[in-house]
Amino acid sequence: MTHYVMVVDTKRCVGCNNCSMTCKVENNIPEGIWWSRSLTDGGEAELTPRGDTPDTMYMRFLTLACQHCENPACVKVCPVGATYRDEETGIVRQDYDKCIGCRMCMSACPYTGVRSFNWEEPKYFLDFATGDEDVPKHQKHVVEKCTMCYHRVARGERPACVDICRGIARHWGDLDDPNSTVSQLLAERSHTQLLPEMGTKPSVYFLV
Amino acid sequence: MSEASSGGLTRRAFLKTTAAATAVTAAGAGLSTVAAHAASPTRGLPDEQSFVNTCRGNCGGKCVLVGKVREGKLVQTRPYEPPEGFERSRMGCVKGVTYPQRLYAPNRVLYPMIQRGERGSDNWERVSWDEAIAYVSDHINKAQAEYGPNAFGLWHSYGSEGWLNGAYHQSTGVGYHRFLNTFGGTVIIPGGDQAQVYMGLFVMQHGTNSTADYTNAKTLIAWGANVTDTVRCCWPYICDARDKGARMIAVDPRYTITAAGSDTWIPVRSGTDGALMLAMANFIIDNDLVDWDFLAKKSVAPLLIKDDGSYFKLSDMGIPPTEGPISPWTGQPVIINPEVVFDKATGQLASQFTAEDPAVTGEFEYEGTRLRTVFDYVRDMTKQFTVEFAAKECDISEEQVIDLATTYATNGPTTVVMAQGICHHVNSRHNYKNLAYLASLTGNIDKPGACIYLNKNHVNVETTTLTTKEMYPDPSLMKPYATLCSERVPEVLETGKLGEADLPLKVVMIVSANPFASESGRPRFLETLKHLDCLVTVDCFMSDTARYSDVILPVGLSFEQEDFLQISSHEVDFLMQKAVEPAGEVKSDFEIYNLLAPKIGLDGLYDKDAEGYLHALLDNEANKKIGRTYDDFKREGVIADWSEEPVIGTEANALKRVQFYLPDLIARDVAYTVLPAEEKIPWYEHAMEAYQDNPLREKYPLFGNSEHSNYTGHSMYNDIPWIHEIWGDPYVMLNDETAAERGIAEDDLVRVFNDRGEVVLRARLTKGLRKDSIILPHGPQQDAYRVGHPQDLTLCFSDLTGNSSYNDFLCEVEKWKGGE
Repeated sequence: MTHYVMVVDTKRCVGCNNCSMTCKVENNIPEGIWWSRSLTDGGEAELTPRGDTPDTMYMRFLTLACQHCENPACVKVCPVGATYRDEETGIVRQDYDKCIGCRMCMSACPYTGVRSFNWEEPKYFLDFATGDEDVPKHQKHVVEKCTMCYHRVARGERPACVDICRGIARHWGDLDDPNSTVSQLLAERSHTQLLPEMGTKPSVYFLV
Repeated sequence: MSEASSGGLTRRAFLKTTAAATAVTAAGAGLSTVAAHAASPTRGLPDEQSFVNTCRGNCGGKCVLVGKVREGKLVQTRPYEPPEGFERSRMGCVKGVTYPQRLYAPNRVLYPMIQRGERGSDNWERVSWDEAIAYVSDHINKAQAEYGPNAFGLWHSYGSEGWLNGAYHQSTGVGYHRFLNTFGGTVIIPGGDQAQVYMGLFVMQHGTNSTADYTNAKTLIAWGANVTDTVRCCWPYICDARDKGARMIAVDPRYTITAAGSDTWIPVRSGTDGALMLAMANFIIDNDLVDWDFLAKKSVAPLLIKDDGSYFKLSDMGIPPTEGPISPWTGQPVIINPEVVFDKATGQLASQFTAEDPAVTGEFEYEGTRLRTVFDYVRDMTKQFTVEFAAKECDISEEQVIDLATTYATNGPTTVVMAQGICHHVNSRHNYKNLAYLASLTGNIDKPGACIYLNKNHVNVETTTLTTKEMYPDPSLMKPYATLCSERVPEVLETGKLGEADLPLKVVMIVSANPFASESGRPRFLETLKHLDCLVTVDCFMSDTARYSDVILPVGLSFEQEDFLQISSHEVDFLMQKAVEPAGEVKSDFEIYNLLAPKIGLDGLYDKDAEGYLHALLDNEANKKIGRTYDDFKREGVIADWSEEPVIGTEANALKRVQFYLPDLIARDVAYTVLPAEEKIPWYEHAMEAYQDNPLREKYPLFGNSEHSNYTGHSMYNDIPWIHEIWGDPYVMLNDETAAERGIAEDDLVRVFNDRGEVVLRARLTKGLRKDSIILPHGPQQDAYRVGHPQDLTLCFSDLTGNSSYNDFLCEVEKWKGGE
C-alpha cells in the first residue's frame, strides 16, 4: 500500500506563499479561491509576531490545505460518495460530477477554509485555463479542495507545491515506505499535526 | 461517472506512469539541460510547448522560468528545476509564477502613444511607430542643435535584462550599450543602492564568497537584510548552517521573517548601523580581540601614510615606478608603484608586497617626512564611537553591542548577510568602509565562512559582454557622454548645471525604469519635469513614470523576445526563448534603438540583427570548447553546472588588501569636489533627517522606512490580481502601541505625512517593530493608494555616491478623516 503524506518543516518555511500561488496556477483555481494558504503562527495580523520583548518574539508559518486525513470527517458525511479516500494513494479525492453541493463535508471538516464551494459559475482573471491540462474542469455548485496534485502524482510527479519550495521545507512521499524521505524525517524530527484531538489522523505533518 | 471524466486518469494509467517516471528520475546527472522539454513538444501533445525565459523582475535573481504554451497562450510559468541533489539551487518566487497575468494584463501598453494634454492628464492618442519615432527624434535633434549633445538624456534602471535588451550602465544589452557609446548625450543611472554599488563594487572591490559558503559560517549576522523575502537563494544555505550549529543574529528595526528565523534580534534604530559597527571595532581593539596577523598581512592597516593622508610609496623613496602588464581597459601598461610599510623583520621600510612582517602600529620617518600607519590613523580618528555612544544612538543596550562585537570576533568565521537595508540613508556610504574595517580587524573576510558582502558564484560562459567588441560600435562613431545619478536630475533640470558644468537637459528617454514610483524624492522629480521639453518612456505598462511622460513607446516582455542571460548566483546560462508573439505593436528594446538611431544621426550603429549579435557574442573559441555557443543554447535552452562547492573571495583591487581606508576616493558625478578626511575612513555621522535629536521630530516623531516585500519586484508585479488576493491592499506597518496612542486600529485607513507629502493606506499593527518607526510599502504605484504615494514623503538628495535615501525621512501618522 501507499500512503502519501506531506511533511512541512516550519523551521525552513518562510510563509512566502510560492506554494499557494503555484497551486493556484497549476490547478487553474477560480477567482477568490485558494486550496493552499500560508498562515502566520504569531500575532493577530498576518506577518506579525507574538511576544512582547525581542527575546520572546515568535513568528512561524503554517501552510494550510486539505489534510488528506486517514480518518476523514468529510468522507463520513458525504451522502453521495463524492468525497472519498483513494486507497491506492491515501489521497482524499473529490468527484465533481458526483458532488451535489450540499456542503456537509465543509461543515464536518475541522480544518476551516481548506474546502471551498463554487456558488456561481467559476470566474477567472484570464480568458484561458492556466496550468496543467490534466486538471479537472471547475464546476458551479460543487465543493473543491487540494487534490494533492493527483493529476501529477498519477504521472509519477510530485505535487507542484513540493517542486518549487525554495526553503526545501516541503517534503512529500510514502509514509508506508520506511526508507522514504518523509518517513525518515518523521523518525528523526519532532513534529506536530493540526487538531490531532479531532481523530481525523491527518496526512500533513509539521516539523518543529 | 468515471474517474476519467473527472481527472483524466484511471488507476491503471496511474500505476503505469509512476513506473516510467521513476526511471527518468534515476537518469538525472550533474550537468543538466532543458533539451527534454525546451522548444519541443511536451509529453507528445502537439499543441503544447515549453520555453525557458526569466521573469525580469529586477530583484537580481534572474530565475529561469519554464513557460508552457497551449493554443498560442502562455498558460504557466514554473521555475526551472535543478537536478536531484541540488535543491538548494532552486529558483523562483511567488511573483514569477504569476507571469501569465502580467503578460496578459489589461494595463499593458500595446501601441505607441503621445500625450495630447497636460502631463499626467491621461489624454493619450494612439500613433504609429513612424509618428512616435519622428516625434521623439525631432525633439532630440532640435534640443541637441540648440543646446548641444548633452541636452538628450538616457535614463535607465534595472527593469530589463539580457544581452540584447538589457539596460545596465556599462554592462549587458548590445542595443543600449552601442547607443550609449555613440549618442554623446547624458546618461542617468539609478540612485537605488549606489552607496553599496559605488563604495563596495567600484571603489573597494571586496572579495566575496559564494552563497554556498554560508554553510561554513559559525555566526551569521543578517544586517538590514530580510533575505527570506528579498534574496531567497541564501535561505537554504543559512538553514543548513544553522542545522550545523551556527548562530544567527538579525540586526533590523523590524522583526522580519529573517529575524524570526534567527537566534537573536537586535532592533536598532534605522540609519544608525554605522555607529554600531564602529563601536564594535573599538570594543574589539580595546579588548584585544584583534586578528593582528590578518590585519597586518591582508588589510591596508600597515600601509604608511603621510600627513596629507596619501599613501607613502616607493617613488617617495626615489625608487621609480615600473610598468606591469597591459590593462585590457586602457590598452596601456599598468604602473606599479607599491605602497610602503615598516617591516619588523628587517627594521626597514619596504614595499608592502615584499615585507615579511609589516608593522600595524607605530610612528616612522623618512628624510623628514612623518609617516604613520593607516591603522593608527583610523583608530585615533574613530575613538569617539564608543559602546556607550552606539547604545544611545542605536537605542539598544550596551550589553547588546558588546555581545555582537564579541560574537563577531570570537565565534567566527562570521559572515555578514547583507542586502540593502543599510544602504538607504544619506550616511549609508560609511557602512561599507566600517564593515571592511571590522572584517579586517577580525580576519572575517576572504576565508571559508567569513564574508561581509553580497555573495556570488562562478560565471560559466567565457565572454562577458563588456569586453566583447560587439558591444561597441566602430571607434570612429564613439563619443563621450556625461553621467549622473538620478537623485541629481531635479537639480540639473532647475539649474542647467551638474555641479559646475553646464548640463542643459531638455529631452529625456527613460528605459527599463520607473523612477517616479521607485526612486527617493518623487515630489522633486514631478515638480522639476516642467523644465523638460520632452519626456519619453519606454515601458510595457502605464507606469507611474509613463503617465507623466509625453510619449510612451511600448516594449515587450521577456517571453515575447529572444535574448540571452547568465545567472551568476545559480551558475546557469540560458537562452531567453521567445514563447509567444508580441502583444499589440510592442517591440523589443533592441528594435526601438534600431528605429531611433538613424533618425538622430547615428547611422550604421547596428551592423547585425538580434540573432546575429547573439551569435557574435557567444560563438567565440572559448565557448566552442565548452559547448556554449548560440547553437548549443538554441538546442538546449539552459546549460548549467550545478556545483555547490563554496567559492572563496580574494582581494582583486590593486593593493591586494582589504581596503577600509580610501585616500583616493572621489565623488561620483562631481569628481572635483574636495572631500573631507572623514569620507576616506570608517566613519559615522547621523542620517540627514531621520536622527533622534532632530528638532523636526517634535512635529514628525516617526522614523520612516520602506520594505521590499515578498510580493513586489520594485514597481513590478504588485498589480497582479492573484497577488492582490493573497497580499491585499498596501499597508503601513505600525507598532501596536504607536497606533494605540493615535487611536488607530487594525486595518484603519491612515494618513502618513510630512512636509513633502502624504499617503493614505491601511494600517497593519505589530509588536515586531520599533515604536519610533514605521514601514511603508515600496512598489505599489499611485493607483493603489487613496491619496498620495509613499515616495512623496522621501528625500531627494545625492551624496558623493549618488545614493537614493529611501529611509532617511521623518513623518507622522494619523487616522484618515476622508472616510472609507
